This record gives sequence, structure tokens and C-alpha cells, in this order.
Amino acid sequence: MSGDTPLAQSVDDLDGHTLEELSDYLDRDRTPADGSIDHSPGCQLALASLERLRRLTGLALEREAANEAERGDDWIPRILGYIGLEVRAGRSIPFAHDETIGSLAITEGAVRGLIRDAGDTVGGIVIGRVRLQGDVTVPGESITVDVEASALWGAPIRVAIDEVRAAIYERLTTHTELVVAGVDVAVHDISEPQPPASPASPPDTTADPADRP
Amino acid sequence: MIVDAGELSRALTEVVAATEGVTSVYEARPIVVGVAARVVEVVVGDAVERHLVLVESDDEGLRIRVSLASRSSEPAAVVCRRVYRAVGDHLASLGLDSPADIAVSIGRVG
Repeated sequence: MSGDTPLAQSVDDLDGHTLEELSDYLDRDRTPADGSIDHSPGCQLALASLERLRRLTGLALEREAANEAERGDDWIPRILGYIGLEVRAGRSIPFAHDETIGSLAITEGAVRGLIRDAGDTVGGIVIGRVRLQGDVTVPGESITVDVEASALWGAPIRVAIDEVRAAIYERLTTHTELVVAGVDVAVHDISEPQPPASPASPPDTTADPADRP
Repeated sequence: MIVDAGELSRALTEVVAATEGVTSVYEARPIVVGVAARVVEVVVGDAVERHLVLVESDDEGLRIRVSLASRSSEPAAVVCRRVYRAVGDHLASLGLDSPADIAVSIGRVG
């Protein structure tokens, strides 16, 4: 694979690895095992995001990223770029702690991973940029979550946004002690329709046209 | 008490990995140090994967740093507190009752 693809350009340091290397690792079914990947939370978050993105889009990411670059589209390369940036540990988000010694926390990268997972598993949209607005390092401080997303062609966008917002809120209240004042989801672009796989697989025409992009 | 940091790291890595709700133990060292450790691994023949918990000591005492993944079926904070207690209990069992710091961080859920 060329090092000039958008995938390779999207990130150059994930605990010493690139997204391109991680994508290749997935292609090889994570064999031979690489401890520097397997024991890196950033790499594991990135691998999980890559797997979900592949599943959602049904595309070979590298090929599609290159094709999009030629067409002037950029949603997959942009999402890959966000994945690379956001899996880094970032700020440390504390858990309440009764002991006088030590600290308990979840990383900002892990929380972004929760948000990305919640969004991507709902379906219909793919999570792009995720920002935690506010000082997440201060217990009890109110924060908001800003999410940029891409809609998949044919998905009812309003329904998908409501479901994603609810899923994100549920994950955050379960796994963090953040005070979440709001979850804002903005769809910035829509994926192009893919050609049908075969004549036996016509496009879905059952959705409400008003909800369709 | 003189502490063998490598041996304690290995033991704590096992303790954390065996704690309910932990799905992975990650390398708690900075990546550059981790790369250097992999070179040592080749030389001494002891796998880095057995020493993922960072054990350091200074004038104030032992400092323990743990990075892990927790399962998604229960709150991450619950697993985090469970690991903290398990580490503290293990240290106490060795007579190391007053560590300077025990930092437990969830690096991924799921």
C-alpha cells in the first residue's frame, strides 16, 4: 500500500503505529500477535473503530478513501483522521474516590471510544469528530458533547440522530461520572449511494422519502 | 523493605488481569520506555506482556500505575474501584501498606 493514501496521511503516531499499519493488522486477523498493538489502548480503540467503520460501510476503506480523494469527496478519509486523533488518551476524567491515596480515572480517549461505539452501533450514521466541551477533569463540572457525523445514504436522518443522542447519553451516564448537559449531533455530509450489489438487491424504497437525503 | 520492581510488576499484572470485569491490561509505561523494554525482553527472555503494570519508587514510596480495558456490561467506575482494591490488597499482603500512589486508569471500555 502506498504511503501517500489518505489513510496513511490521517495519523502518523498511534503509540508508534499508523492507521495504515493497524488496518493491515486487521487484514491479517491480528496475526502474528504484536504486543505493541495489543497492549496499547489507543491502538485497540482505533482497531475497534476501523472494524465498525468497515462493517458499516461495507467498503474496503483504503480503496474508498483513495477513490474519494480522486472524486473530491472526503468523508471516509476525514472520519479516519478523526479516529486517529481521538483515540489518544487525552485528558484524565476522574472517578469519585474515597481513599486518600491514588486516583481512579477513565481517559478521554476511552470516552470518545464509547461515544463513537454508541453512535456507530445505532446505524444510519457514522460518527466523525467528537468533542467534549468543558473541563472534564473537574468532578461535577457540567459538560456538553459535540458530535459531527456523516449520514449513510437512505437512512432516516432525524430518527438516526435521536437514537444516537440517546445511545451516547446512556453510555456516558453508565460508564462515566460526567455531568452531561447536552449531546449535540450535527450531520455534515451524506455518503454517496453505492451501486447495488446485484439485480436481486434493489435499493431500499420503504423508508419515508421525507427522511431520505 | 527492598522491592523487586520487576517481580512486583509481574505479580500486579497478574492480579489486575484476574480481576473481574477486566478484559485487557495495557502497558502503563510511556511508549518510548515500552519500546526500550521490548529490546530488554529479547535480551533477558522475559516477556513485556507479563510486566504491564508500572512500578516505580521514589523518596515517598511506591508508585503504581495501571491501565486497563473494562467490560462494557458493568460501569467502568465499578471495575476501576475493584482493581484499585485488588492492587491495594496485594500490596498489603506483601507488607507494602503505604504506597505513595496507586493510579488506575480505564483506557478502553469493551
